[in-house]
Amino acid sequence: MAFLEIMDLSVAYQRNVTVLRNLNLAVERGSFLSLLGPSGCGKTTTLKTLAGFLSPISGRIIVNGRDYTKIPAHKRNMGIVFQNYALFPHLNVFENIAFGLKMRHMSKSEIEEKVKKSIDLVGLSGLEHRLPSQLSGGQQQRVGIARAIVIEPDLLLMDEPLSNLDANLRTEMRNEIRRIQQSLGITTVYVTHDQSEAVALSDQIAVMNFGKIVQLGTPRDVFSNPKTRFVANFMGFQEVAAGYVEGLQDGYAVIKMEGRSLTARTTTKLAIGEKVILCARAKKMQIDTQNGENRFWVKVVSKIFQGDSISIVLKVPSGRTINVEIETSKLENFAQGDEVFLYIPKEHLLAIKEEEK
Amino acid sequence: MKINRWLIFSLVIAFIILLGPFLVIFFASFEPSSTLRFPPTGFTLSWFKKVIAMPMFQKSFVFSLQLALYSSFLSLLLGVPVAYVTARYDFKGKRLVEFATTLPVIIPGMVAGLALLRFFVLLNVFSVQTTLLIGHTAIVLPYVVRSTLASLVNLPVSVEEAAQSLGASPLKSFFLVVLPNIRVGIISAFIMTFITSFNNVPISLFLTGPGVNTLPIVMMTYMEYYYNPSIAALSTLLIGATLAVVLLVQKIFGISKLL
Repeated sequence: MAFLEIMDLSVAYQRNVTVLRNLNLAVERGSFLSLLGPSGCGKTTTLKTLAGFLSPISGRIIVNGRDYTKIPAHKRNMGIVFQNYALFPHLNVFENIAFGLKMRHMSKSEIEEKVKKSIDLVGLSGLEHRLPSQLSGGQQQRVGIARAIVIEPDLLLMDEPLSNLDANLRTEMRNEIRRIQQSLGITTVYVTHDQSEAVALSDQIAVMNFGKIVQLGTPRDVFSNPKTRFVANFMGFQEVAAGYVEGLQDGYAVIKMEGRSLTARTTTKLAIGEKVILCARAKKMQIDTQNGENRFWVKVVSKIFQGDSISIVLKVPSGRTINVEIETSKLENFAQGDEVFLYIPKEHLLAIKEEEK
Repeated sequence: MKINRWLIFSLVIAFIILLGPFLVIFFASFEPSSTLRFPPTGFTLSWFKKVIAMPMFQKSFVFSLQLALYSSFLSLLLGVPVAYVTARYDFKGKRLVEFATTLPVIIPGMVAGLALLRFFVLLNVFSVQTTLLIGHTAIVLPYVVRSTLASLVNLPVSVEEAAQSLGASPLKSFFLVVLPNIRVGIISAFIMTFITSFNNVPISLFLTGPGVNTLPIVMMTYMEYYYNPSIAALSTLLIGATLAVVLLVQKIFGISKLL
């Protein structure tokens, strides 16, 4: 049995509005799992249920072999890092971090030692006596992290901890979170809607939609092998065309579209004749003036110079517009309104079942 | 920027109508002759001595003080949980509770007084003192609920969740985290309720009974018979005491914009 087991968990806010439906998830000890999805997908609900702030209508939560489902939040020993930091406004940095230890009736010297250690770990030395209102956003979140880890929780739960920070700080704090989590080896569940955060931090990513996990895997796997249209879109793939499966071989499929055949990589089992969509990333497509293999005709809508790269908006045969990014040096001479060929290498072109979105 | 002369004019008028009447009362309380007069014709402290020594004022002052204290505490005891529940939970009839807590503020005091009187006459179980206490608690309760609600809105729910995740029971998290952070709202509510109850006339007018009188009612009755500076002296004392309490609270809790 894994360290954290979520079994058939269903949560509803009101009697009719079910937010989670029979969720199953296992997280190994010391591992970092991200719940990734758009707002309203149930990721925060999952976290709140793990924390004990919401009670499920059915299902079980097992941590370290112990059934936590009916245990109230304050007896769960879980550290939580909040999006809005949720520091105690009337307590200074030291007192904020010491709060959980005081609740555990530790001795004064023990509290002092542990708080000092975690203050050093998150890099807040010298700010012990500041109030939260006297700290920057990044510093406040460091206090939030220190306060959550100082109690040596069984589980560390993080609810979009970086989304209130500005872009530069976000990357810095992201690396900090990874460093701290790895140095302590705390089993962590991390909620985010930002795929780059999830990819950079996680051992496992669970992509969620409509209260269900739609794909679970390593960051590399989820990033390059999305199994559904939704995951592909969410991980930054664009739909460039649609067609039918004509042939299958060694993880590749021959797709027939409007009188052409393209070769695309498959991420799930497909059947001959099945309707699929073709997806690719903006940076993995190329533009060519010559016709050839895995190419099809597009029209240039606009071109924007971005320094290192050029962003080009193209109209594909289906009428949809897509975005392609190519290196400046590779630029061929073509202008707005020109008809050119879009080339997508077969390993970067994905064939995904059309059915659900 | 040059200040428009009309702005200066309105400032001066506002000052006169705000402070003027009190200054008249203040000076009148040192008047040696036995009629209320402005400007005063001399200076004496004898009205103060007289008023302080009068048993009817002494008795009703102590009673009003007790009534204000008890009704304020009672309204805090009731109002803080009501505010907390309204701020943190969704339940059926929440709008009704919110509406009910604004009623005593909107409804004219006389109407509320009459309504309370009819209500207690129908019940016919409480003593005059208890009736007054309940009546005063009812009219000051909205101040507590509104003031506490305003403070609670500024304290995110996640702060309480954080406390609970760190091992504090819901009750502990209320006392260790919520209460310290809504302190300002509660203290300002207390001052408002205390002053409102202590000064109240319309409710007390209906609910006071034989032998049980609040200071404002006794003052009104007294004024009907004796129109001399003793009432001005008493008013000056009350204004002074109220200011002293407010300043003291501000000093102790370091809150500048309490009210």
